[in-house]
Amino acid sequence: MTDVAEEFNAYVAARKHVLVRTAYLLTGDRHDAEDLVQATLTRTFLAWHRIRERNAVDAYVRRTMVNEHTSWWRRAWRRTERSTADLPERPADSPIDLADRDEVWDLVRTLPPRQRAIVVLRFYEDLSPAEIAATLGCSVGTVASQTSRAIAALRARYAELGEPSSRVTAEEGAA
Amino acid sequence: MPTTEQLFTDSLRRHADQVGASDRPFAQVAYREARRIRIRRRIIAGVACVALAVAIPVGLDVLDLRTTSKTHVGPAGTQSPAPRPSGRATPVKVTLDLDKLPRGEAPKVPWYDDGVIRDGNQTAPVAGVKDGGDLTFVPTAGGYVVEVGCCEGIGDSTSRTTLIASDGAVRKTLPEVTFPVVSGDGRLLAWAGMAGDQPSGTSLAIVDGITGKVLHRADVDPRFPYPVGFLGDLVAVTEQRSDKGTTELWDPETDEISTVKGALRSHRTNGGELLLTEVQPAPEHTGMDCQGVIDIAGNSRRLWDGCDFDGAEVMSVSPDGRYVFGTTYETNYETKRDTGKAVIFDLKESRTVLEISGLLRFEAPTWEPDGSILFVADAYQDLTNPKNAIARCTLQGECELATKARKTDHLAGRYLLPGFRWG
Repeated sequence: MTDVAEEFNAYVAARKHVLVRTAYLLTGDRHDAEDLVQATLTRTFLAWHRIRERNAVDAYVRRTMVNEHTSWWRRAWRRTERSTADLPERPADSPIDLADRDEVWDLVRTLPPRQRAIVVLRFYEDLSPAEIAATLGCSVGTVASQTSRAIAALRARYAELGEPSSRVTAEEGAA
Repeated sequence: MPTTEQLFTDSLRRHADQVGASDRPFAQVAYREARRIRIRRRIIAGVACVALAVAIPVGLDVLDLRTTSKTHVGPAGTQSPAPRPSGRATPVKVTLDLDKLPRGEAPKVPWYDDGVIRDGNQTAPVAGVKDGGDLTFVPTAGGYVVEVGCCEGIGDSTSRTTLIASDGAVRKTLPEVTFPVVSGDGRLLAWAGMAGDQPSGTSLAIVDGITGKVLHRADVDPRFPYPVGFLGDLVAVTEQRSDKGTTELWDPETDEISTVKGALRSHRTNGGELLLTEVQPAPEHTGMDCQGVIDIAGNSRRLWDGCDFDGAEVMSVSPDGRYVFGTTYETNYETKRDTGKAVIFDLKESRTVLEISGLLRFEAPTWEPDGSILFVADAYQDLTNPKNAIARCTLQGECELATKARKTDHLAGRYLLPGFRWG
């Protein structure tokens, strides 16, 4: 195999599990997540020789994955998320904890793709607002406002349940 | 008491942690797919439908595209296996070498080169094209639908679809909808978009191809069916939420939707009566993914089955409905070399008339008014020495270059034909 193929193989082997996890958070479906990773890696392989800094591969892949996912709808590849059938098995937790998680997860699953991407990059990938802005090609202000909207939506969801302040504090705002 | 940020972080980590390891061969598939870039994203481009529209500027004498009189190649009947190729008349076989092909006339249909769509002496500049981006265009009655996007440039994460005049003047920027398909006369578009504020709702729209004005809209169920082409006055829509997808016909006059028997996920139409679609494999092809041609006017009879031709993908059907252009590819993972072969099959005589090899890819086959076939030819055998040209072949196997061949692996230096999505 060529150096390019060896490099690419090594990268995929090292990162594919992490990529599938992030993709799952973006798509909410295991099968779709693997499809998204595949599409992302195909694009990445096409551009491999143009990615000068190997340290920048993760950023490139992340950017490509988010853009690819966002464009699925526009490109008619958007699939309606399957609500329960393909979710991974959950660990055995107490019913109360499970209820809490579902509320947050249910909210994440209803967010539009770019807002959902911001939530995943901010709260799972732990990227800074500037890094997220670079990934999505938007301003830091947009990242902040979208994050605030997601947080507000979660608060509203809890408020609808009649427990507006028992589970969340209000001190955090934009990312 | 957890903060909202902590709730998000905890929930996301828990769900991510539940995702087990994947055993998919991502790298190998990436090799293969990288060489077949078009496959997953070409579906809405409507290449064959474009083959009708592209003839509009150059006259319709040969193809008579403004009428519905198509050559009906097969008798109407019930669903049955596609006719097997007959043993008559050995097909002409040609092997192309882009360095040795003679140079012929420029394409007689619109084509793209270096930021400009060209059609005879008329040129339409396309703004916003960047290296690393993507571009698709299809002709309409008075210009083009053009989508320009960028896949990797920071700040260009979204694409833009516009209706432009034949001189390149932007008439309208389209909303976020699927890439439009174009009617045979180029005067109508069809697309799918969101239905109101419902995130999972879908609306189908018929749109004036010149002004972009929505003429009719219908909300449909949220499975997100999207148009793949016109079939006369009807619009073929397909959805792929399920594994295999389904195809239906939407009648904009009545908003009735009916299922196409035997069709799974569809790719395009020839603008007349033929649907290019994935089909259930015949018993002898069990386990294969098969693409075929279905005659809507003939009770959904299968006219051609790519699995009879080494699993060929059906790329285009001539506007008169007589000839099928299919392609097959083989990948050698060790050498990273692919080889492609195109077959042109005569549905009327039920035989292969031409086989073309020697190239890596045959993209966006487009029929010229005189019956010749154009395609974007990629000749590189690895990722370091790509070569690109538009080639022309007659059904008798006489081939030539419609553009010069040049080395390039990026959009800015590539030639494109209508419907081909680069990116």
